[in-house]
Amino acid sequence: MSSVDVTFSMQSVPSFFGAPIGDIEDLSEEKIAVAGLFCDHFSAGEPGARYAARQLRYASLPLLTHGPNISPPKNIIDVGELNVFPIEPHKTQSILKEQSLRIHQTGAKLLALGGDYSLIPALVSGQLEARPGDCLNIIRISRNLDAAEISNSQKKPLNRSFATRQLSEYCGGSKSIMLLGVSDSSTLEEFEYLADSFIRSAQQLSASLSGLTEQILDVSPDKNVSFYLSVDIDVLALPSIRSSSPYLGTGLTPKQLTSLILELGKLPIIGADVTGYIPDLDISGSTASVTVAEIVRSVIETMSQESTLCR
Amino acid sequence: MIKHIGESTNASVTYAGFSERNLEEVSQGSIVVFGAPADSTLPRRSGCSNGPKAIRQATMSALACYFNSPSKTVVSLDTGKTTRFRSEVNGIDLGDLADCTEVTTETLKQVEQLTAGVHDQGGLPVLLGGDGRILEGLITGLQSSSSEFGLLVISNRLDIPGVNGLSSKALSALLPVSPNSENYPLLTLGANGIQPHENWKEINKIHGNVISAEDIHEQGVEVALKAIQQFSLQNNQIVCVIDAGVLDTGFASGTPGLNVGGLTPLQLIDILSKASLAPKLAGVCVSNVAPLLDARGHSQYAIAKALLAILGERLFEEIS
Repeated sequence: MSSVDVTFSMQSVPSFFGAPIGDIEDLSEEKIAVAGLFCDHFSAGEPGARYAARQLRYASLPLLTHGPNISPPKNIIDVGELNVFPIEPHKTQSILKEQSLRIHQTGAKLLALGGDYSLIPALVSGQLEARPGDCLNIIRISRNLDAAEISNSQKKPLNRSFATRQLSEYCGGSKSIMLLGVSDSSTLEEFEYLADSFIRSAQQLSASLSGLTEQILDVSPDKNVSFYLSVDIDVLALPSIRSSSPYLGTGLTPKQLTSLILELGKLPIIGADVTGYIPDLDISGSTASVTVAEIVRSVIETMSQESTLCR
Repeated sequence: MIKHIGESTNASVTYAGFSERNLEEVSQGSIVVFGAPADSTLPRRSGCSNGPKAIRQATMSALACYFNSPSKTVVSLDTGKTTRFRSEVNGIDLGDLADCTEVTTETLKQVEQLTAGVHDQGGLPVLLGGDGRILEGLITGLQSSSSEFGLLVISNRLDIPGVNGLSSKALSALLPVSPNSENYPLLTLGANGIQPHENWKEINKIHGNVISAEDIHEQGVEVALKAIQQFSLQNNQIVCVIDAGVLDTGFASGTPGLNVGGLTPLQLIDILSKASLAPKLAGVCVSNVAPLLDARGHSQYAIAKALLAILGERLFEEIS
């Protein structure tokens, strides 16, 4: 038998949810550009979130997640990893902003996966530059406030501890920040800074999601507001998933988190990220990744929804 | 003679940011932390030698929200309470016992002498284990220098394990109390699984009480809190012991033994947060934390939180 007679079973190159792999030329309105963030170098937490995007590409393969009958979302394009400079924070900040700007200029929405929350202000500033007239509010789902006083920002422009405060300054003040799933204990100074923000603890959200989106819209200063959704996996209480924050035994279950994300789909979400997941800390090597892939899927669904509460 | 105390640099961080000092510097009212990194022996799983270091590191993680605040103050979103970490607290970390690899009679003697030394100078000894057997050293040390105290043991077992030729010992045997209906010398919480009948009998004989893990699962943490309240009323001084083995293996696998049906970390922390033991503490022992057996790090984190809950008002001040 010659070698050409052998039947090979080939699997395609893994991409997020089996989406087509594309570039900026392939983006347009209605599309969601899904990009990986291979960078966790600028925070004090445990490293490893840089590998999340790679792991999620494998875990989100439809065969693994849902079986053969589930088709991938049609409006997403895997644009690969965003460029970063792991030991040069200023260059990283600048190039992330530039890439975010260029993606948003196509009319597509950007969903950044993996990496660390410290990078998100750079992406949001690019988004704001692409749409200068927009009023953008931030919905942050995390157990941490990350609103410490900004210090040494010239030397360390990317820092998780004050990332929320950076976002607040970009978006016009703490009123533009909505924090959901926050840990019961938060520092007094951060809490005082965010006094005007919309804050709900994990315990409050666990009790009920009823009317949440309406309440968020009610406190938004601008009627034509759009939202950026930032999800940190540290909000989960599940003992089988460990993220960059220590396990406290309190937080949301994966089901509660996906329900919350889908509830937020009533709002106009024009950009999103899922950060803080460290695949190396997943003992089985796949359980947590599949769970996080499900969470990412709910974010894609939310970004794809027509806003029903847009005023 | 205690040798090499304070010389060990095994721990990369001190407990709760306490200053690293020597026994001679212990003063009245200080919280004095020291570690006994003694490993467990077969048939129990090894790994407890890393316990003290892991508990110190997990404590720093648990206190991160306080240390990230310039005023060391946090706000509870759910209760609205504001709490400050007492950074002025007189806390001392003596380090770990050097050359302490397994529990031997020599190890127990060192723990005993160190405990007595700390207590004699007015400090509150807080022992970080190490295998659960080290409790014997702490109890003996306190008995040699202290008046009567009640023993509150939070463990899945009713005994301390046998190691290196030392046979296992019933908890009741640690207390030289003659049967007297006035006494309430021993309360154990979280017992689970098959326990030797003799141990139950001996605890009953000295008028002790056992609240099992099943009792807590079925009746809620209130049953444990009620028992602690009664226990506290009859004891002016309390020695509190947390054996990490009390936690269910599904939540915290980093212990020498396995415990299916044990307490959840939230139950343990809830009980200790509400028990208000701090004013009556005569000594504290946490043991059986084997961090390498728990890749997710939950065991040491849960125990670190539990220890902070025990120390309660000694470390934290409620502002509003």
